Amino acid sequence: MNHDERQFEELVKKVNLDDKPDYRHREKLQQQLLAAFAGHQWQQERQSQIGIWRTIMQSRITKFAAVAAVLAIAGIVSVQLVTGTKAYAQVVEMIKKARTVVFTQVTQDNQGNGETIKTDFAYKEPGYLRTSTVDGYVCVADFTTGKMISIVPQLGYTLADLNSLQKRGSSGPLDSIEAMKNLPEKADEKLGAREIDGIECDGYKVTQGDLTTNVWIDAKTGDLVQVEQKYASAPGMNKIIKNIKFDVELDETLFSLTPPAGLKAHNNVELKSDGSGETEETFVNWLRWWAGANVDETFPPVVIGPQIAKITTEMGRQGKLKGESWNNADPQLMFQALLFTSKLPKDSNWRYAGNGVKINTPNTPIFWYKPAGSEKYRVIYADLTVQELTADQLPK
Amino acid sequence: MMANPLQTGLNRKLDVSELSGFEFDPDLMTQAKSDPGVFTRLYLRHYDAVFGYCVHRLFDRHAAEDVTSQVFLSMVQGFEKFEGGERQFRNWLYRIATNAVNEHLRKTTRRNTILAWIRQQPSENAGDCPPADELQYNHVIVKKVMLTLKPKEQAIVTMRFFENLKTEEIAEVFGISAATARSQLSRALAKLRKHISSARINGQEEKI
Repeated sequence: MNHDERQFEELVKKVNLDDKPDYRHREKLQQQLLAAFAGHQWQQERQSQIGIWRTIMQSRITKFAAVAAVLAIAGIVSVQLVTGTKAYAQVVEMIKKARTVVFTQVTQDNQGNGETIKTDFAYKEPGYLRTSTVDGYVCVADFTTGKMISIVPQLGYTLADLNSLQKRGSSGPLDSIEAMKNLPEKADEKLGAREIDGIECDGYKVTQGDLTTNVWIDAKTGDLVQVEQKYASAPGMNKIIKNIKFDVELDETLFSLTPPAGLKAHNNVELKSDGSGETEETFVNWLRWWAGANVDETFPPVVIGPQIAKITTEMGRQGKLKGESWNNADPQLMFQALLFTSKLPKDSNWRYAGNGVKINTPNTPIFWYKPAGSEKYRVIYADLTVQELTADQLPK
Repeated sequence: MMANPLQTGLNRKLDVSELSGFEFDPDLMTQAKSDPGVFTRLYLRHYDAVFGYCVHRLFDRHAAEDVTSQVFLSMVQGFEKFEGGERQFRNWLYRIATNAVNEHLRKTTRRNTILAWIRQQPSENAGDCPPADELQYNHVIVKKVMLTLKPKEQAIVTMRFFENLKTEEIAEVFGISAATARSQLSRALAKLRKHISSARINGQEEKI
């Protein structure tokens, strides 16, 4: 290094420049990039499937995106998070006191095909929730005002007013957080040691009705590492909650309802629910509508969770949705139908088996659940008739 | 250490160790073209470098953030056709960033504004002391002298002294020989030496 270089290097060392990267910008740009990336991939896919694509106009996809956003809203409202010795008691205490919580939820669809959906959650008191997927689907809900925004990457966003839900104190993610905070102080049994993601953990098991919760705690630090939920009556309907952190600093911008720059607004939707519409009949009507609105005449792949938004968008892109039907889609019907399943009590042991089943397929149960206070199950068949069966008569 | 779950949409903080002793990942590029998760990882591995380069060229973090956004959004547009490893990817990002910074300076006339402002500093400060904070004072000097260089020279000096790239690496970025890069760097430094001396003399005069 010569004299000039040394001299300038010394000077540069003495420069006071605010050059530290701001994670908020990095995060915001990450969202934009993922949206752009998804759009680019979509274009590539579209070019390779041009034959199929000709049947679907761009404007229709936009409509699907709007519908998907509504479904995502229903999905976020339907999020179920119920988790549930000394280390265990301390973790429970930490959950109860937490002002913020972040975690990743890996959901296995209750259709037995082993597929999983990974969603990141961030919750901040008194009522802010954000969910996001790695490919850019984002929902932000402010339950203090009942406002919500749902963002479908590349395609746009939808704003929703959830005030009517808020007023009547419906169940949803906030109740789920509360349920997490209401974990029993003592576990039912110890599960022994297990290594999770390179961490030696001690396990504890809690059984609450149909639901069995395994809680895994770092043996050295006492930190909560993983929560697993399994439903006895629905073997495929498992959830793994990991990367859990309490009281991390969450910037307010993460819960901003301001739409990202450059994205188009879909129709603003005012989703309302006074409880009367979330019925089995509404659910059946929605199943009928869905089967009539896709080219295969099959029932929806899933009936709960944010993943339905993503699936719907993909189906639209693949030309599997009938454009005319979707242009006239009733967001309120979808919303209430999904609320019906999401608000079923946990001991209802509900199960969905309609993925890929064509409407009117004979003798094929697609959904069953046990209404509150009932000894029998209500079973919906592919011809959309309903029968009452005892537990031992249910499909295996 | 548990990974931050907020990989999308949240304040995932980059693990500093991921960048220190930076090693290029040979498998990253292929996977990143089809996997949004890997694509995100690639972005996070290079964000700080691109932002650093932009802010050291522009001396304004807000402008640097805007240009950084442009750089990565431009990258997405051409990513499918990009061929090469992660090292070539970084060089490509630097080229995009150099063009974006130059374009920013040209279009917004910010450079002229800054230069005009800097030119006014001595007269505005006449009779006053130069900035009491030496670090701030050096900041002003470096900004002043850097902006007197041609854009290409600014880019080379920034990469060498702020981003700590070797001249061979700088040569790779611009597709020139290492000898040419060294030669251009030397010329730029000679100009800088002259301007720094001049700026310091002015500073001393102001003190007197």
